[in-house]
Amino acid sequence: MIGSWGAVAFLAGCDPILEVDGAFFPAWLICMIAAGFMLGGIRWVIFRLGMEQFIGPRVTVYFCVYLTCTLGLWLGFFRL
Amino acid sequence: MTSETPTPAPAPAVARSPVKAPISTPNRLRKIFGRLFGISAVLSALVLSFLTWWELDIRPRTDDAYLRANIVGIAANVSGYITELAVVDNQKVAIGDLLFRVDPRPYQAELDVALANLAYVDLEIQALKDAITQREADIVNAEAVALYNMQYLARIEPLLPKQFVTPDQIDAAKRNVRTADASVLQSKAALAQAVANLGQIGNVNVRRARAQAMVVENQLNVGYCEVRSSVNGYVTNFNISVGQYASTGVEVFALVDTSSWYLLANYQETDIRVIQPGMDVEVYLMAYPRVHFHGVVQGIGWALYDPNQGSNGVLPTVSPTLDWVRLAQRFPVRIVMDPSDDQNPYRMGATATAIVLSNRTREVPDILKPLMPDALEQWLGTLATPPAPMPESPGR
Repeated sequence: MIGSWGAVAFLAGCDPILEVDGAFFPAWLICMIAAGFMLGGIRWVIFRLGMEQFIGPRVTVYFCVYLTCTLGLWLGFFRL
Repeated sequence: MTSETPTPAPAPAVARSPVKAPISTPNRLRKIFGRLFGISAVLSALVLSFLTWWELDIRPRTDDAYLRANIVGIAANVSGYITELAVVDNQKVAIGDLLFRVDPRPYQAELDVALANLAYVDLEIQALKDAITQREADIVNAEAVALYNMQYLARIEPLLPKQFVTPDQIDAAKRNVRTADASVLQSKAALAQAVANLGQIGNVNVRRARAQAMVVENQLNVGYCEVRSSVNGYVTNFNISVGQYASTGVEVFALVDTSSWYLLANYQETDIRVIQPGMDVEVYLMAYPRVHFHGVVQGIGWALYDPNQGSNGVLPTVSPTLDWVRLAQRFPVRIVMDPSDDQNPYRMGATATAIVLSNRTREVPDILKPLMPDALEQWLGTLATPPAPMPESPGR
């Protein structure tokens, strides 16, 4: 999440469409996939730190983490 | 049995009680950070959702955009066999460059006929002028005869009472006077006819003008045999060979006019309310990743074909539909592109993404103002401000 906010603050200006072997993928799709991996990493860290039982309603919190990662990546890399 | 005494509850049961169990320091830290993490995750998601909505609202974007240029269909203005091709497919041409040549010989022959006709008309005009001179001489001649006849009649008429002349001679003299007058009138009419036949109106001789126009027309036709480029651009779809018959007005290939490139970006009708002519546009072409191009909104399309509206005969046809989810229509927004450079040439039909840098600023809703400090409000204001033009944009 800190990375996402950092991306919002410091990065900008990538193409809004990414090419993978001749096919063009919208940036938001790439962000969603990357955010899925980020969510996996964050959850692993939270679990290893033993904090998972204290974070509140897990589905809501992890969904919010996922949303933060997705939107943070998109705003950071593709907001001009 | 009596020796049995109640034993205290096992220690683990006490330890499991959440109320009385003392929380160790690491667990307390975990709880604090865990709560903080959960709350900050929810807050981040809310704030970033708001920022994303904000961003999309002030800088509408679309992936449904295509680069366009004007196409000039090349057709011969005269019919004939193509005898020479001066260009090849995809070649760059400038205004006035020869593209191909139609067999000029029939048109050259017609031009020769017209030139000969012009020379003949000049001779004809000279002959007609001579005829006018002749008619003028005829008038002088007829007038002289008429004058003599009048004088003769005047001389012999006084001799009739003394019977030196007969009445018949007097009548013959009178007839001669009238015949001579008629002859003068006839000669004048013949002169007028000859003048009209010359065709001179003021300074213009219509016979010569007509012949001259035919020469010009045939000169044009000979000139049309050389088909030249009317634009700066590229040859495209060039699939003809020497010997093909070019018919008048039938296009044989096309030129891409590279003097004006524009983007047709199909924006949803919900986006076009913030788009205005003159706004800067950030353009990305799929062909050139990591290169930013620049354009300016020229206008927004005013009309679309509506496939749901029609008529059959005199009655309207309406297809019965039950659309719960409606898709937004898209209107083409015409964006005039900056000229391309040699490293990144434009190609018609290239896929593009357009982001209109709307200069719209959005006020923070009143309901949120008490919740956010002034500094955050100012920062949001900077988000709504378009960035400075990028110097690496080609053609600027």
